[in-house]
Amino acid sequence: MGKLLEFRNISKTFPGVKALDDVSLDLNPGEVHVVVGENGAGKSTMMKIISGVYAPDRGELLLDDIPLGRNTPKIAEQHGIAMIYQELSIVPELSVMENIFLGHEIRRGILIDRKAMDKRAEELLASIGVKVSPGTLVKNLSIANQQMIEIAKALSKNARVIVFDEPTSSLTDAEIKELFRIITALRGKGVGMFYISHRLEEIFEIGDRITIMRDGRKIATAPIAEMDMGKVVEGIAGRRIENVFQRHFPAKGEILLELKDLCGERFQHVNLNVRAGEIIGLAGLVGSGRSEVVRAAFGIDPYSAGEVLVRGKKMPRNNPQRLAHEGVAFLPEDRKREGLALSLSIRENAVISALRRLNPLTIVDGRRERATVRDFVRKLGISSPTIEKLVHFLSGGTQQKVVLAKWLITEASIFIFDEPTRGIDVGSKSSIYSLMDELVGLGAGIVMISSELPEVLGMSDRIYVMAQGRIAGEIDREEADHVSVIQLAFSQTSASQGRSLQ
Amino acid sequence: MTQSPLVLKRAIKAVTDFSSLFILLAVLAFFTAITAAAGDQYLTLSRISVILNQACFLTVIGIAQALALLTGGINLSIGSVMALTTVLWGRMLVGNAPDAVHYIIPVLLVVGTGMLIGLVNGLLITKLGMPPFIATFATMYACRGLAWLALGKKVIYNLNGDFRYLGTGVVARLDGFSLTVPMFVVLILLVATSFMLRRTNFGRQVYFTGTNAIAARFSGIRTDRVLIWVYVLSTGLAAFAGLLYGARLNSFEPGMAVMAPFDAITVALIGGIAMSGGYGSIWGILCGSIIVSIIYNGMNTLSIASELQTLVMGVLIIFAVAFNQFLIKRNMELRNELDERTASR
Ligand SMILES: Nc1ncnc2c1ncn2[C@@H]1O[C@H](COP(=O)(O)OP(=O)(O)OP(=O)(O)O)[C@@H](O)[C@H]1O
Ligand SMILES: [Mg+2]
Repeated sequence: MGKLLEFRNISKTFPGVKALDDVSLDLNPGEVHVVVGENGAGKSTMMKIISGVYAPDRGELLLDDIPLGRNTPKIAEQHGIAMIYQELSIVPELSVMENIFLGHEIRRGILIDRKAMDKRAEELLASIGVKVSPGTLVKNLSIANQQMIEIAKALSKNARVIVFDEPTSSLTDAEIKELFRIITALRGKGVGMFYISHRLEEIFEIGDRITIMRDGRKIATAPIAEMDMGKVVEGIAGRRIENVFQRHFPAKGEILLELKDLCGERFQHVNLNVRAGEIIGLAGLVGSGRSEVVRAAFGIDPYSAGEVLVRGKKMPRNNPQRLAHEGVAFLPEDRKREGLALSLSIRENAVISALRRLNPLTIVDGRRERATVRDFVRKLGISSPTIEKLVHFLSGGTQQKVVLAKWLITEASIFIFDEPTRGIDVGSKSSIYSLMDELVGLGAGIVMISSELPEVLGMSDRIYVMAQGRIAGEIDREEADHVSVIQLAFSQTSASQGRSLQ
Repeated sequence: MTQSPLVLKRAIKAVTDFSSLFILLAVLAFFTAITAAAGDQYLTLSRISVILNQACFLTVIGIAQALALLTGGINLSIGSVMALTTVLWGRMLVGNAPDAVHYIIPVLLVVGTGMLIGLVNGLLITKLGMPPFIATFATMYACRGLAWLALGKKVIYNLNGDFRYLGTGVVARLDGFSLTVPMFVVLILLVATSFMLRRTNFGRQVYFTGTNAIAARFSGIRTDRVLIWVYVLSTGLAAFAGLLYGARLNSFEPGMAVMAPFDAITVALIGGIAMSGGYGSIWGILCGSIIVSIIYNGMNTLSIASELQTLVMGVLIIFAVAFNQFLIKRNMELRNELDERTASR
């Protein structure tokens, strides 16, 4: 059987970075080819060459053993290549059907044939087992379902090659199961898929073959059955990582942050607290209200009742600046929209929240600033030749590290992290975990939202589990395991399950 | 792209950094050629001095507008504020009466009133959540109306000589070239604003807010405070521009400088400030104002009708903005490349 797609000796240089260095790779029909590697290893770049966004400097791309020659997004699409990007590209204000056919509407003469599109959309959605009506506005869907719409969109273009670039970074376990069911179905139809992910547990479940990348080079390609977790981690990080979750447990101090009976649109009667020296995990399904709670607590969104106390002091509503002033740092969920100024440099982004600490006399101390930023660039393993690089040109995981650096530089004492390690490679994850451990050792308190159970279980002193906008329970580190957390996450009513699978 | 030599890239980067300098040279070349074709010399010392002197006022309103544009906003109230503030306090600047207060007092009152109107602009935008376009559009009308109410169809003229020195004073004369007081005033203003934007915490916050206001709020920047200050400074500068303007014309009147906010936008756009916020340098404003000044001056020398001048200005804006947009993109890429190269050395 011929290869569906082949990547022959491809190189791609960006200024100062050899993003891809003589990489060869192939994809068979009906295969899930997993690609892993550290942040900035060149994974997304490789996929963007397949989809025609970048042209390679050297090497060629073959489709059905025929060289493709010039490639553009349009040409790639005509050949049945579809991308599900790291960041979703659907339009929230349009309906499901409109999104699926955006740019390639079904026409009758010069008019758009809505009826035909509705029908086709329904078929497509049914074929991947998604129960959403084509007329629903996409903004009313969960992220998981939005992703399904992207897949339906890919199918509507008769995709034969689908690239998934970190599709599960914002999904919970139940939703990932759903995605995998669809991928399995696609595999049966002979669709070939590349699958990039930093969540290593899942690749053994879904992959047929695996390729490990480092510094733009291919380290290895092998059938997944011949690999194990240890080998993969070592391949990615270039070193053994014995224990990812390093924790020392310092003596606990005063209560730093406390939410008392907080009520808002998407959550009710939330009580939680974090002490100095503690990491608090906030677990639950996507949509259970975790992000909404911390956003309200930090003053981003309003809340209708209850109190937020910092070191016993009541905080005003809707005033994030005040909380920042009191030493609270907030790492938001959506790094591009809420975390970064993309057209500014790493340096300008990293210091923005710590200006007052770095330059108490308001005049910028350039040397001190650069030294501070360089320090964190090293600590977090930010892969960029200089701190002047515009954030826009960094890889997804590297951008996430810049957002982290921004908050670590503030030397805050209370950290609220919403999915801090989203899109970050295993090696860097373990350095971030030790940084977090260091922080609480110095008397900080951390609230961490995470959809990755191993991370919550491995790092937290205590875990609050949310379900349907309420705290369903609080579990101590000693008693916490997969089962207890998941049970609580699904506790409340059966409606909460229904919602997550909706 | 990556193969071209470093020196060349440095040169391109310099051009894209000061895209407006490039336009400036082109415009100069154009008028020099045309005048030369008519057997004349374009760049004489006296003409340069006239052009620069005229550019001074444009620079002040250009900076005022640029501050607002950098945050992603706009200030349409510039011209009306010039009129209202000077009409309100202008009487204190009339004549050389011995009992008159020192002219510095009305000057401070004018600028102070401007800043107060700026505070109103800022509050409308931040506390009432009005888009800057609408908020300053409203104050544009309100201030113009108040100016007419305050003075009616009269004109304040025959201004205090000491005060006029601010707008017309000549420090030194070299052949036909006059070094004037406004040139020094504007130079100080440019250095100060540039320092504020590039080297202070406040300036950093202005750029960050202009690039991504949501992320700025999440980063703990007091975005409301930043915006209010920007409009206070911008509108205060507008009032100051009114003083320069009046000093040169030796009069204040309610109908003055109607086109000022738009001239200011022209200057800022040609000077390389991005309407979308967060991009541009204050020194570009200097180029922008000299360019606009040259064009008006050049067209007057060629005795082109004013209707046609307006048309030419429109076309020029289209070209300048398209050109700048292209250069901004290229500049970002180059900034990326060059810093890497220099670092890897
Ligand atoms: N347009 C660009 N200009 C300059 N450099 C770029 C550009 N795009 C990517 N790079 C650089 O190329 C390298 C590879 O980036 P890429 O996005 O492929 O990484 P990745 O493996 O997908 O990482 P992640 O796991 O963080 O998503 C990085 O060093 C990145 O900074
Ligand atoms: Mg990537």
